[in-house]
Amino acid sequence: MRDISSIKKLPPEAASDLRSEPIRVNQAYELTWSAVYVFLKRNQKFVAVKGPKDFFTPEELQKLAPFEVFFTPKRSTEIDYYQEKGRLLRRYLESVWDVEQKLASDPDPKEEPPASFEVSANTMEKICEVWGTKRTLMNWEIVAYIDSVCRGVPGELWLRLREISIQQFDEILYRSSWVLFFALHLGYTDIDFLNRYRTELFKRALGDSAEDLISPELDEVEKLVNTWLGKTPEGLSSSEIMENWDSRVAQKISFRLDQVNKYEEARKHGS
Amino acid sequence: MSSREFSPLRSRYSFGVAGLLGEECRVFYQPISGYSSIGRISDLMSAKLRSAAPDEYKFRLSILNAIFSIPKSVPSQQSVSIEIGIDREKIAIGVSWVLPKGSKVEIAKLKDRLVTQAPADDFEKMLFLATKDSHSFVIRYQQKYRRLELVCLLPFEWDTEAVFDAVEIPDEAEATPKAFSYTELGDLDTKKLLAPEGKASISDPDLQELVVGRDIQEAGSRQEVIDSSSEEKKAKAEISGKIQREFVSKIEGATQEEEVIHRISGGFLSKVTRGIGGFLSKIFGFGKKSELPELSPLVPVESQPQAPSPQEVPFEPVAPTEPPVEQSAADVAGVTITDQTQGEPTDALPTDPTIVDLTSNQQILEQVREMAELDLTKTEEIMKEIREDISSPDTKKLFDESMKELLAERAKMKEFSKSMNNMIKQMDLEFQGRETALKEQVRAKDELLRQRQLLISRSKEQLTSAAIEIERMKSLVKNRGDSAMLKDKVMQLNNELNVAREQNVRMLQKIDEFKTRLNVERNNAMSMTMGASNAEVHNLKQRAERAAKEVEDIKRQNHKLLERLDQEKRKTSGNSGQLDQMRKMLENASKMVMNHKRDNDRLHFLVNQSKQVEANAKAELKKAQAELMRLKTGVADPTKKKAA
Repeated sequence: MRDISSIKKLPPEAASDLRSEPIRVNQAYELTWSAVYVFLKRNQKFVAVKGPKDFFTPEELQKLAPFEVFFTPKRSTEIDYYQEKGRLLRRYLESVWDVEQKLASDPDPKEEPPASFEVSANTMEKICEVWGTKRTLMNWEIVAYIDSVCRGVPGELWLRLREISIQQFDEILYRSSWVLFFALHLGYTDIDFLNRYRTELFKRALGDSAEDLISPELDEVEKLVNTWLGKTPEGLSSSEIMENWDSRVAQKISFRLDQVNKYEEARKHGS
Repeated sequence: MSSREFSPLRSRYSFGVAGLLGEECRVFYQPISGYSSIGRISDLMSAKLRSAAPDEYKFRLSILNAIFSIPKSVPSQQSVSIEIGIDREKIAIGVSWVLPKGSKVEIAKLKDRLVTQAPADDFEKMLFLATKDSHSFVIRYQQKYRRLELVCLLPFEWDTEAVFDAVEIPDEAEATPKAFSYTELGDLDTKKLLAPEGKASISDPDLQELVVGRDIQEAGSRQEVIDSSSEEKKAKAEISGKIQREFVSKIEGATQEEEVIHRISGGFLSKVTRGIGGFLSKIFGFGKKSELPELSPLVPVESQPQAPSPQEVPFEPVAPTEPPVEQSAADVAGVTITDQTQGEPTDALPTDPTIVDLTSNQQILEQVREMAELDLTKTEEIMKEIREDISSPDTKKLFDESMKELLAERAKMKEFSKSMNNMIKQMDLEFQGRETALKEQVRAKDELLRQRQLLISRSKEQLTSAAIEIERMKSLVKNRGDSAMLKDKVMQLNNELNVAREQNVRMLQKIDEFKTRLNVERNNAMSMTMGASNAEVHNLKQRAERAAKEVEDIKRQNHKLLERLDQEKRKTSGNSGQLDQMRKMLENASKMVMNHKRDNDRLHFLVNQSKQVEANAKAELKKAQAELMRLKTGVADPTKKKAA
């Protein structure tokens, strides 16, 4: 668990700066992006039960259930922006996935799924918004984005990783998120595949991989991400990535990032 | 026999089509996990490369064969990566995927089985189906990751010698050579390309350089032909004077656009004037097949006119019995283009090249006819001489001798070829032996490497587990939660100490109260017990003094305790940062608390004792008072005393 001593208590007057959320709404193994408080009636104080960038286990949620409500700071952060963008992309990719699934079961479908290159083009447009004008993304921003796009990492894996070391847990979160982010750049838009590959990355970090899911290209991306994060551990900028032309995958990503510039130019000209 | 060969591959042992293409190649790619988009991908790529592809039907067929044959062997959770690349001489369609766990590919003889159309199992059947319509193919397999890549190659010149290659990529694949560009299919202008009749033109930025570049190459090769065949040029110059030279200079100084025009008209004229070419090559002995410019596949379909029928070519009177032989680009272009520039003056390029070509060639045809007639008469004369020579006996003798020599030579050649064959066989055997020995060596080295790698990985694992253990220990030590708990304990003990101190103060106050009350009572008793026994009073005094001493002792002890407490407090505040000292402090504090508690108990005990002493003193005082009263009453009424 992360250290929350610095944000442990808040006076009752802080209630105006907090927003409440029923505990039953919260899901286990969902990343928290700010401190989470409960209100102690006897002490008349808000006490932090979880720090930012952490998650609740089902046992913890059960234990805290009598408090009924969690309180979190009201102020919106940049993380909210990336989460929203991620949710939008997930909805889009899931809708495509649904149509694909219907197609698999219905030999005479009413709706034709979009072609993979159309999905890829739409995804790239959404990714351009994420890169925005600053063209530099911090690790936690990408974690928030990818965590909103992908679902389904078994919480048990996260728990085991966090128990080993919080630092290691953070590192694998960053790495997996960047790999998935670049997978979207390279045209991997199958949401089911992305979810499974993300789980596979966490399994590999724990040495549990069954090697059933191998994507040579994404494995190359993982190596690249490790190299890049070794140079700039806080985050990555598109210009730095575009300068690295060493491998085939790097070349592909670099050419794809050209689209970010084109998108920005088109946006400026209002088209 | 194929006249062309592919340019040397840039990399055999790497994945990706870029290794099989030139460095100017453009690569289009798309990973797919479902197969519903394959038709549309083929449409899109066809529209994009239609202008450059040699044969759209074969191109589409190759894409579809390559992709549709694969799903049977791809595990459902894997994705397939498609790459389609183009350079100046070919298109490469690459599909790569990971085989299911436990798959084994015998790559050594796979190529032969596919080429001889004898696939060994279902997997090879699939590969056979995937490659059957492609001109050439390359299969790459990496055993470690079960990664397979199939690349179908479609050259622009279909007579290029086919390449069939199957290689096993080592565990560490070579780095893929760089491509000029990589384009995800989503980045193409799909709406425009997939519109009815939509296709990329030659001016497409992705194709322009390749197409124009290829034109330059071809134009260059034409020039080389002209330059290299100086004798032919001389011969032609005899016919057409300065015409040939002017064509050469035209090519040299031409812009790219002009060269495209030359190539197009050259290609067209090559068909039209094939008869002339055949005739010229018969006479002057040039115009090899390799120099022949075919109708270029790069030219848009609409700009490639149909070859004219034989009736349109007016050569029948010259060489009616000779079959048309293909002629070199230099011959054709030299003749025809200079006609366009040197012939009848025209302001612009003719709208119908066929008519212009045929009419402008009339003069040359006349010249050629004259030359041919001259040559024919010369040849007839030579033939007459030869016939006369043949009938002489000397010639016969010469002929017989030469025949004998020829037969002897033939026998020698046969023997020589036999011995050569034997040598080759022997060398083959030697090579095979060497190969097996080398393979054995490689296998042994591989095994050694594997063992070393295993050792390394084992030691790495141990290292990581040690690192994890260290991390865990560190986190335990650094865990601030523990220190917070210790802090809380210290606070709690401090609070207890404070409470004990307050209790002590209260006790002291009570003792003082008792002391004053005792003094008061003693004074009263002293004043009242005037007649009381001196021994009892003395006892009381002694007890009171003892109690006072004890109180003084208790006060001193309490003072000492307070001092120690202050010292400990100071120490606690000074060294709170260090965990060990904190622990020691905590132990000291708990010891102090225990001492204080003990002192407190003692004080309680003393207080109780003093209370008891007080109570006793009070009781004795009462007794003394009663005695005093009795004595008083006895003094006042002696009669009563007597009566009593």
